[in-house]
Amino acid sequence: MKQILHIFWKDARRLWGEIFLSLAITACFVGGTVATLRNGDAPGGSVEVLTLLLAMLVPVGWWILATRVIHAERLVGDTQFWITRPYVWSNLLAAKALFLLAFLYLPFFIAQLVLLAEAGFPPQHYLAGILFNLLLLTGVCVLPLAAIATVTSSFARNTLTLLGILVGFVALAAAVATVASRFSGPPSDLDGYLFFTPPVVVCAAAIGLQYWLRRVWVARAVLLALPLLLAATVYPDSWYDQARMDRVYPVTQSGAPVRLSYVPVTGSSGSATSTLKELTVPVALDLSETGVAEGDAVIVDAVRADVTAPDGSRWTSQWQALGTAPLGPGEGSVSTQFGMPIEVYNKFRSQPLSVHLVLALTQAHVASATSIPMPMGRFAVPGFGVCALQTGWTPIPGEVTGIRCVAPVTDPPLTFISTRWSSTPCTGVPTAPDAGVLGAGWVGSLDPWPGQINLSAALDMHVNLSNNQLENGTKDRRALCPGTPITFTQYSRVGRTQTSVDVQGFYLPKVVVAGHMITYTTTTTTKTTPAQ
Amino acid sequence: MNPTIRTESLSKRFGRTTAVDSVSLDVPESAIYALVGANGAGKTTLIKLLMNILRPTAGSAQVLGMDSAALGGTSLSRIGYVSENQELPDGMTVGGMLDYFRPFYPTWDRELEAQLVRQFDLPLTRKLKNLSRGMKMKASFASSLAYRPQLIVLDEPFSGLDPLVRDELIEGLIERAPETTIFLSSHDLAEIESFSSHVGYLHQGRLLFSEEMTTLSNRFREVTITLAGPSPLPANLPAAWLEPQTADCVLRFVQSDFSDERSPREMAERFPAARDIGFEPISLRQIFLAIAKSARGAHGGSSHTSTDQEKQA
Repeated sequence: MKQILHIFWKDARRLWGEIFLSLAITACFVGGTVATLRNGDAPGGSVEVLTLLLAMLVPVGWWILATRVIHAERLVGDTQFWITRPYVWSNLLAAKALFLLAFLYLPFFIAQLVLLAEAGFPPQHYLAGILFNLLLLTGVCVLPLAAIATVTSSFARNTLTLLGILVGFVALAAAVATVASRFSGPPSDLDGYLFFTPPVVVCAAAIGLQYWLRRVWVARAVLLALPLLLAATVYPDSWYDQARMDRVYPVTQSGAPVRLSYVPVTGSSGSATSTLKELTVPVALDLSETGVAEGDAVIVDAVRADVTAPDGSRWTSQWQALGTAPLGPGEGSVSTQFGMPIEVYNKFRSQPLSVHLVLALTQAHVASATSIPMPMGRFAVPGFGVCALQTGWTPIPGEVTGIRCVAPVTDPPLTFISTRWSSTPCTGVPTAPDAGVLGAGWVGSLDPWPGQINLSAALDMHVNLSNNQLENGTKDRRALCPGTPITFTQYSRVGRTQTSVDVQGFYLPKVVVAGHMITYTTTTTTKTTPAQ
Repeated sequence: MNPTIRTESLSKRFGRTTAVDSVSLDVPESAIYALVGANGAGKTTLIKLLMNILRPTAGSAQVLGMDSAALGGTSLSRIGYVSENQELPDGMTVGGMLDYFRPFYPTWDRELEAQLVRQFDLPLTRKLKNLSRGMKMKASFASSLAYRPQLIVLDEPFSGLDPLVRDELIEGLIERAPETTIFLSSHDLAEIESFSSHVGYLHQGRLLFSEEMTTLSNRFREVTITLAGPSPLPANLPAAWLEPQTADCVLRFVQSDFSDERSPREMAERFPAARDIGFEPISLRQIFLAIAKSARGAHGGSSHTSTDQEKQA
């Protein structure tokens, strides 16, 4: 312990400049975030932009700090002063960890407490979430940076290595996206572990090996194996995603919680960039929905298409993720889309097709509802967060364009926020619950993690409550008047199931392929079949 | 008595290059052992193997009774290491470095530290990065001697230093000699000749000999034989006769197995017509030159094959 502290104090004295820089960046970031939280600055306001820039600098400060402290007793080379001195490797590693704990984690932890307190949340209630967030940041940021520092001999080489890794990462991400796009199902519980655990284990192993044995090439080989390991996990992960769908989304006897039917659309067009290896044509089908029970919400998580041509030839897609906004009671619509490889498209084009869509559904039910007369200032919503009216950059300064909410540490539960916009300027009289224009929006998640990778524990959310003020300029000007009830309805998962829609006489969109860009035009279909 | 350092067939290869080739040597306790050899002979690699900075390709080494591959951590508190290539914590002052290293060594002697600082005239408040090369070496010496290590390992410690600094360092070393074993490498024979007790000669990775300095000096003589008339170089000369050459009536060579009793008699028997036979002691430098030239001739420049002549030397 004595040696650990001795090395720690030496580093603390020698690296005061780097410590100061990192602390200053963190302090400025906290200051900017606090100012944004206090002022309710408009999205894209100068303080918010500055805070975003500072948020990008925080990891840079960490990088400099972690690299410099590890390079103070660098592990690459055979001329370092310390390797012939009685350093105990475990003490050296512990001293570096203590340094990062003191000057990276502790300030960041304190920053999170300050941000939560400023946002109106008692920090002591969210310690576990903050620690979980720190764990995630360690895995995706601090450990990789430290691992790279242990296998590089100087800051310049470290910088070049990091740039190389970033380029490689982009290439790997593109390759993974190519594979994943062909097999993508809804994200499984396994996904997070698959893509989080290998980097943590590999980086920790490389660091441990280097401090223990100083075998640079072994440690480098271990790190180089990481991309291969990650790439290798894509196929099993995709296979797992596909294989589990029928088990996770079983067909139930009681029927689907929503009725879906195809709505022919004429003349819609758009463009899409294909995957790198294989051109994929996006095929969109708009569905109308009815039959969602009062108090329920339905989310279409994934779609699988079974396409049959008049000559009997057939193609079935993999499950493909959708992630639509939740469907509520009443009539509504949902856009589905699946990708079709260009060679399949060429085979089926210009023919009236039978399309059998299978949709994976998540059914949620109201867990709680809170209705509050809209106050002028900040207001707390139990179990959700703290909200305030949002002013935007509209022609009229101070005009309300929606609400801005802050949630502590992680996404709030899936929440439907609804209120009434007044069609006329506010006169001091609240808009009645059945008057004005319905303004609504969904935020949150049915499966929030205990924490998430974020530099601020106060998660900022902008909800424009279906306000089209910004899009239409001065047309359809609306006002959100104080006293008008605003309702936060939280949902919890009830179950998962499947439903299907059959479409007859469907024509694939016309496409023009230029390089890796596809321009498509959707034409009409002739006949639809109601949902089962 | 166990030797302080013992290597057995110690080898290190870097790809196809053999830097240290099956070196076996013993360094007795309290010796001042000088490992000499030309640049690139493998001295630094051998020292790095002993200090566990590099790992051997084959063979083993024992340092202070420990396998060198296990050397590290607290065991290094008994060894002082100074190298011409070693980095120092440049951001620290001399005093800061001594303060920093002090707690690592249970045997650190504050009085000895103060004495070394005075002796080397070290500027305690100056940063190491602002010091001259000589001053840096002095600071490095002070930080490696102040804890009275049982073994001091020095890799070309005097290389590139002015004579004054070199003498100061040698003086500092000699003062520590009674209580420690010193193992140092050098390519400058003159600087180690005056104080070394043992010497080893490394040539292209191979240890050509390793013995006490007095024994070495005693067994080498320059032999000058004046013959009755001009004569070509005799054939089948013994391998222990290095660098033989003739000029008119004179045959001259370096004998590497000289014996007071045996050698004059042997020469007289071999050259009965000789008018004069002289035996002159030679300097360490001459000994090494003779060995190096013989080895080069025997190797034809680059081979690592041991020859009879090398073995005899």
